[in-house]
Amino acid sequence: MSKERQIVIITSDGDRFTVERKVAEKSILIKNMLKNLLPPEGEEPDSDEDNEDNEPIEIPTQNVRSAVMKNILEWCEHYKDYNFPDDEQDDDSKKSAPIDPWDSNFLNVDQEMLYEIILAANYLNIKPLLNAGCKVVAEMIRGKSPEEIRKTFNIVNDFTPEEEAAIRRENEWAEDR
Amino acid sequence: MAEIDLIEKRLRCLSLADMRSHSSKTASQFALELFEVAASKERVGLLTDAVEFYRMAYKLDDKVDLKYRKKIFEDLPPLEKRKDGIPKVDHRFKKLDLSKIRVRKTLASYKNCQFEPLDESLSPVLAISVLPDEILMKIMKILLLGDSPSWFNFSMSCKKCAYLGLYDGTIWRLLARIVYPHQVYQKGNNRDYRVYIRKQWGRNYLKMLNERPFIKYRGVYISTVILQKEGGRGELSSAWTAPFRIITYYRYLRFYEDGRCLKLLTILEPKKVIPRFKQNWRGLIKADQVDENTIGKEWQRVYEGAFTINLQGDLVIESDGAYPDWTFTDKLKIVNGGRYSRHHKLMWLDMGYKNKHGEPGSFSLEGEKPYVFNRDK
Repeated sequence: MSKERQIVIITSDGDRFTVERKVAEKSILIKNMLKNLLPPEGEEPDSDEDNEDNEPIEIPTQNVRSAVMKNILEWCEHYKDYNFPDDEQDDDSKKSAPIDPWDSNFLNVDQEMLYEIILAANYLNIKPLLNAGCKVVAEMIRGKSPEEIRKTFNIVNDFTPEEEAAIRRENEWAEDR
Repeated sequence: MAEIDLIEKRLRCLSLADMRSHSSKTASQFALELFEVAASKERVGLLTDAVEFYRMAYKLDDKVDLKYRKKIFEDLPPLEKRKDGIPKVDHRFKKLDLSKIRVRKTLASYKNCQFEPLDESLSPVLAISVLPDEILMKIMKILLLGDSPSWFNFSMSCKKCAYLGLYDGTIWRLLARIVYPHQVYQKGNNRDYRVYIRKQWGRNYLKMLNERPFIKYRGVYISTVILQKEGGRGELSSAWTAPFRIITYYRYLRFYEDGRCLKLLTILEPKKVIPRFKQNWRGLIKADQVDENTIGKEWQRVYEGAFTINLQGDLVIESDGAYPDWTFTDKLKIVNGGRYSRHHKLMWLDMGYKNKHGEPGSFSLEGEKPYVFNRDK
């Protein structure tokens, strides 16, 4: 039986990560790419193509730098044997489910890194990680006043006082349900 | 226990003479404390208690109201709260003219706003500004689903967030999807309902939320009733006015998505009731070791009922009540509390009953006040 071909992910800054197929396939983007390059997992490769068999498959990711990819792959490694339920249905309940403690701890990084992980998860199409990242940001907002939220993200209040008061007055009712 | 309750408890142990001759505090310091307790009583409608405390305060210091006013202003946060370049306005001091602002148009104009840094020395590029709108929207929706006040506060943090959180139609569609499927409607022709809803609002979910009444589950509806009753003058009394007494009582309602609700009529004020007024109130009272004889007795008047609404916001509650074998049917209507509080009040239509012989009747609504929604904190 021939050896499985190696998968190498190349980051925007040129680092190379060699990964197991099922780790890489946590990214739906990579999974779909591999579908075209490799036979389904567990099947023998076609003997006609064995001239390419021992070449590693290189996957360039222009948007993700090495430090971020390291985190992403750590997450994928942790969940490599876990099958996430099918994604499309029941989006609301997925959004309102509490964040997994392991994810919460894993994403306990500074804001820049957190946002980069979210962007990379979005680009690589890793929905469960993207959801977890968004929930961590939501947790940073939860229970805070607008003033405290501005401080958290270092953003300025750019409303005029009149606009702020009018918008508040007209929409405030919607927070009760 | 809140600070004001501790103050009240301490003051109740002292007589006016004690306060006048106290070793560490002056009479006017006591007067101020009494005044603060009185004001807090007045705010929740406990007028009898309020009057009692106001009287004692004035007896100790006839200028106590001026001192109280001075203290209130001193306790406010300083004006200078924001950085340079932003208008320094404290809304409590300046009345803003909002008449010219068209909110939806203003929000639409924020379409291309970006995050601006509060303090450029902290980081030259704003970290959060790398997130595309699509992801910010996802965060908005997580907040809206989990904790709607946080969704609102995030939306109020800057123009960009206001556009995403309050202008975008998908937000209102999500809120409608959160709200309406959990309402408990009267049994009827569902197809007629659906036709009516489509004709009336179509896909304009903001309009639907504004106009189509719903029951709010994350809080308690409270009706505060203050009755003044004039008494008779004493025999031989030469007083010009008759004495009167003030009675304050409260009606509480909490609704559940499964069609059940809790009802309570009591003299206990909201802060004593709200934290425990839940489906497991029996356990909560026990856990808090509430004094059985006074407060515990009041809680025996919690009744469980069932409710339904219709598309017009007519609410019907059927419940047990103070008389065994009777049934009680409260009819109310969900109405707005003023122009800007949607579906915030329950107005009385009828307080009906059927006695043990099945004979119907209605109680007088004289003096009854509408219920107002109070969100759980």
